Amino acid sequence: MTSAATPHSVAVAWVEHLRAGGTTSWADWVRDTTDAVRPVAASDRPGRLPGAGQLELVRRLGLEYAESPGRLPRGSFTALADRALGRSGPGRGLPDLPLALPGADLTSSVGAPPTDPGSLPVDELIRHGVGLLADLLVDAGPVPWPSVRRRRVLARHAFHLAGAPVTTSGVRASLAAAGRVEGGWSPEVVLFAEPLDEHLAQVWSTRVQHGVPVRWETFAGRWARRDALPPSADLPAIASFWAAKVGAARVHVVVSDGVEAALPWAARVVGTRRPPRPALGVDPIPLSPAATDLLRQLNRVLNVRVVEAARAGLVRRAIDLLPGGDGTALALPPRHRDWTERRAERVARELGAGGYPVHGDLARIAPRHAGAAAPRRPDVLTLVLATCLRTAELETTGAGG
Amino acid sequence: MTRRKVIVHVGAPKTGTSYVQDLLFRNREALAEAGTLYPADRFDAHFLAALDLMELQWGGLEKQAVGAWDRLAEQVSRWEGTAIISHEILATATPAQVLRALDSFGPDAEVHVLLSARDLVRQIPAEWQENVKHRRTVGYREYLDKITDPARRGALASWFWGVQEVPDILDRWGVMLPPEQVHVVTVPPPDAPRGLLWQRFASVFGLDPAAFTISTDRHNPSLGVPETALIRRINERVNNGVLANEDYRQFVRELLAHRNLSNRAESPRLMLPPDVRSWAEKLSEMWIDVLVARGYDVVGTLDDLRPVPAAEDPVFADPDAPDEELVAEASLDAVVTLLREAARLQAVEHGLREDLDALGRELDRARGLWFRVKRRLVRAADTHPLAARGLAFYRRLRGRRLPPG
Repeated sequence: MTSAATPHSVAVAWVEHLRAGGTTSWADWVRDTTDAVRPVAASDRPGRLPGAGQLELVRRLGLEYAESPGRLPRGSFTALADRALGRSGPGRGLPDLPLALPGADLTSSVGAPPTDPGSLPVDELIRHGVGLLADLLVDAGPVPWPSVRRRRVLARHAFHLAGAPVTTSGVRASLAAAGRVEGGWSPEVVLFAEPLDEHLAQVWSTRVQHGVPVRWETFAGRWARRDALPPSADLPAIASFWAAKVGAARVHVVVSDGVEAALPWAARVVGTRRPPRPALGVDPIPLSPAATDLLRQLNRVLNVRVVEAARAGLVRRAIDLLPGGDGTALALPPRHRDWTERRAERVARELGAGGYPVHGDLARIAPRHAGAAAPRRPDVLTLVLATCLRTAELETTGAGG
Repeated sequence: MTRRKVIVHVGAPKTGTSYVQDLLFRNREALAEAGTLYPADRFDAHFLAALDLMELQWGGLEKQAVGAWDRLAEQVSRWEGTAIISHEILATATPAQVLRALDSFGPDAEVHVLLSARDLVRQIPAEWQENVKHRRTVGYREYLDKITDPARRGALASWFWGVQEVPDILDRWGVMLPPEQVHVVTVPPPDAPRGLLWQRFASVFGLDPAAFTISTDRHNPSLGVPETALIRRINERVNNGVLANEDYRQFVRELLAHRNLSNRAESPRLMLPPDVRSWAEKLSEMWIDVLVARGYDVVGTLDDLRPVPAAEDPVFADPDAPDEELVAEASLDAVVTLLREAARLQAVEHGLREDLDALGRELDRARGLWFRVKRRLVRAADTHPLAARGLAFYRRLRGRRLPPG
């Protein structure tokens, strides 16, 4: 650094460093150059720099890029960085915060306070990242949701699946792959029951995949306050409805823990000789809490960017590009745990009294309270960064829509 | 050839914006004949455009905003005379969003930015009240603490400064414009002649204020201390899924707050506690210095941004600890208002039911005897197994499916 360096030129150099994929933090960058920088003068009014949120997002993208260099050429990373620097975070959040320049008067009285990008909350970085991801997805275009193969079904194989939506979707896809397609007259009904908190997490994930931008905490809180269950988790009501149609003896309650555990029971009810191999559900699909939360925040942006029909296809595009999740469990916020325990007992009691064939132990409907009570923000940010890089790769590989 | 002129009114809230927007909307045809475009096919068209520009979620309304800014800009770009865009949430636009907005009007447009501003001592309580009318439950002192914290952390402080910090808003919106194209309309003090604020707006719009003076009922009335406290308590009971956003808008904000509780003019008014008033006075002086230095076009006088001197011994009515008798009176008014509305809606429902029954009878007569027999059989299938099996067999023959469960 020469003695002629100004705080602004130090910042400009850092921006160039980040655009090239550099990952040095602003604090380290300033520490290495401060001795050579003259104090900022009141008359200094340099051109606008990108905000602290945009700059830190690009640095995090650089870190992700360095950790898992994919097919994205260096020049394309710079183009991605420029897109991130040229847009503001969507929706409500902090304003574009000015960079805290070395020697600058931090008590400057107009505008948002100058900020060290390293001190920004993770939520702000996620907000900026989701805005960038929305831009990339809109450019890449929607992809259609796949559908389960349909064919005419013989009456003796008629069946209907209901209950925990992600498990149901997986079983439906697995049976379809084996040639057993749901539907038909006077069906055998299979209801999939999971531990109630995990069942509710599946319902939340499904709603998010279908475009609802509701937070997990808000979703759980609303049902708890109403002391009611979402329709697809209200197994006694579903069972009672079908019992009136086909008789209680043909409504099977399968207490399971995911598709693999549920599939043998479902196969037996449906009448296949051997359990089919588990297949990935089509709609909804299993997602980690962090991935669901990413989609939730993406919905918020896409709802104002594109019409509903396009939104679904863009969300599907994002799902296809998400890195594989670890399927971490999601627990209810502590204040709602007593409620789920009471509700789970009631569900088990009502199902037990209904005269339905039960496969498994109804006591296992009790919530497990395993996992964090909310999607972990750092995990969401990691997913946003990785998905942005993967979506940007589409442009270079020409695989976009 | 005259240059296309675009005037973007970017706020601030509580400075007569609702009144001006209503006046412009209602007069849009007459304005167009006079060469001025107010491009709106619905009252909230510019609000939707602002949501689109800033990618803002707004209780589901944002779904109606897809592409709204570009459509607005296209209308503006096609207009040969003066075009006006007005919405107060534009004040929060970031530099990147401002750049997109200004670019969207085309290279030949002469863009003017207009900000209407009122003194902070009136604006701060009004902003808290707006928060309460938008379902917030934050107390007054907690709100004041948040906005006076120099760190400006959190959503409340971000929003307040985004829409109220006059020099910063003009810095974001006006940085690429010569100062004579940046206009500050100041809101006159409460005892100023009626119509003066509109005259100031009209002078920036290039309109004859006398030519567009129709009465308007759309304004954003303020509430007293007990009424605001009541709404805040209602929020605590109806948030978290009890009342949907559209129901809250209809029954709490419009019916209770705007159309009824705001009429209780005798209630003590919201004001700043002395310590915050002193802070606001100092800040106002600093803002005035900045505005003078920047050389913007001031319509009115910057003295209007200085708070009116406080009364000798002002009595501060604390909305966090309101007079409970007054809150109870306001609550009774609210109950009566809601009872009247419930009775009105019940009358509407009865009328609709009668219409429906009459239509059903008419339909039955038109369908004839065979339809009525079939319907009775279908209903019997809900309770008699034999009838149910017969119906299932019949439907299989006809190729119909069961309704989804």
